[in-house]
Amino acid sequence: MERTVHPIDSVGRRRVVVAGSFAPDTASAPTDLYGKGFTVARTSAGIFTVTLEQIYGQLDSAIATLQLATAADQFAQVGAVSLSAKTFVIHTWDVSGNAVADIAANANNRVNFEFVFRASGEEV
Amino acid sequence: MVWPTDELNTRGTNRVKMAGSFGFELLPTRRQGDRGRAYYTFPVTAGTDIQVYSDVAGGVGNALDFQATADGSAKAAIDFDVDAGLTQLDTIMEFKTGGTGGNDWKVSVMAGSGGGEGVNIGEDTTNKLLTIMYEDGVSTVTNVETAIGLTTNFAVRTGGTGASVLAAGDDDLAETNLTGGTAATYAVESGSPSKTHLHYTDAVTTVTAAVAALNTLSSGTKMMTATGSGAHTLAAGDAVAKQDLAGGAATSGVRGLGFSVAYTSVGTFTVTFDDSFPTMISAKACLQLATAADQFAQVGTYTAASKTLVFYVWDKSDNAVANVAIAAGNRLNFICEFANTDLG
Repeated sequence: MERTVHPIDSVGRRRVVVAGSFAPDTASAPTDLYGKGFTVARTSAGIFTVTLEQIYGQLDSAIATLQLATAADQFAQVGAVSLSAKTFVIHTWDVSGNAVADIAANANNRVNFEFVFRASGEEV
Repeated sequence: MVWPTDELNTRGTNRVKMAGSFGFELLPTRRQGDRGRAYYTFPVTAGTDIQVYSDVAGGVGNALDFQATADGSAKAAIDFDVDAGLTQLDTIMEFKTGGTGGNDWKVSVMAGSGGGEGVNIGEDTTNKLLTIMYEDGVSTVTNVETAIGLTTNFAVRTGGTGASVLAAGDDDLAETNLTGGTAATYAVESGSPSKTHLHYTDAVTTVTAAVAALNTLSSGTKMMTATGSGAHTLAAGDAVAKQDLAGGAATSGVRGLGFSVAYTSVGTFTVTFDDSFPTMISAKACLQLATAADQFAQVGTYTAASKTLVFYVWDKSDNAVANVAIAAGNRLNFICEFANTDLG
């Protein structure tokens, strides 16, 4: 099937998008990383640290969402961001437990993220 | 204006991506500390509390102090010994009525009474001049104080050495103003660290007057702003010793181009885009918190006609929209993708 794609424009010059996702595996290290330019580690229960290979200027926006095979009262939340360390913390929050919590391994359980950077020197 | 994101392609033509984020210092609450400004709530027993907050956002405002004392309407006075340098007459005399009016009066002291005349006092209300004439080598401090007590406008605040006998030359004073009379309500700033001091009068100063005085200092540099209003008066018991302003914190600001954002109501923010796009293909919102909590962001209504997009912050514990505390690591992030034409 032919797929036609087209360039995407942005509001604001010299924006760089880093998107990716990974599969949580309960208390084990995440697996199945999709996207380029990052690694991810399970820091503690329900807390993941995404480390980028490179920072592309200032951060305009950081989005994290939780994808679940079966709907549940859990969601992803961006935590501390350190551009100097190139790290982004992502929490997975369990509403029932009222705390961060691990996500079980499943082919369709993933943490998705997208970071948008503004090249240094560009208008905010 | 839009620009290409090099080598980033997507399905569909004329797609525009917009990303942005904002901190929560937009909250226009009464407590100005929620805007990152240090503040102090001055409690008024019988009326509306007065909020004072730093004019400068951030932690620097936490160094400011506030104080309130019920010492307004002070009476003008003169210490004949300390202020005027007289030798025998060491009385402190005051204007009977508090306020700045007493500062307009002058007093002179001279050895002008004749033999056996004792102390004579002239009270010129037109020229605001009190003239005290004593009998050289005869009149005592007590004689002078008795005469002062018979005037309309003056009284002895602190008695001197009653038996002392006044002497010409040593106890002569040219026309000299009384000083120290103050307004019913005024505020001054001084010191390091900076302290703003409200002086008010029990049962006279209203909340409105106090706020006005704080926002229009009689001396010093304005470092903080007061809010509050009401006709109810401050009481002597409302006085507070030096209080630190607190709650000043770094603000996060708005990042991204092409939009503005305003706080609409509790946990509700309205982003207004600079440009109009026919269709919003996708909108994602994510709450960023320095400390994980059971709150999340949610995209609300997009109205193309008004170019607005609403975002909510939902608090699961409260089961309602809720505000988020001001902190450098607390932000609402969003990414939108629009179709720039009606062609799909």
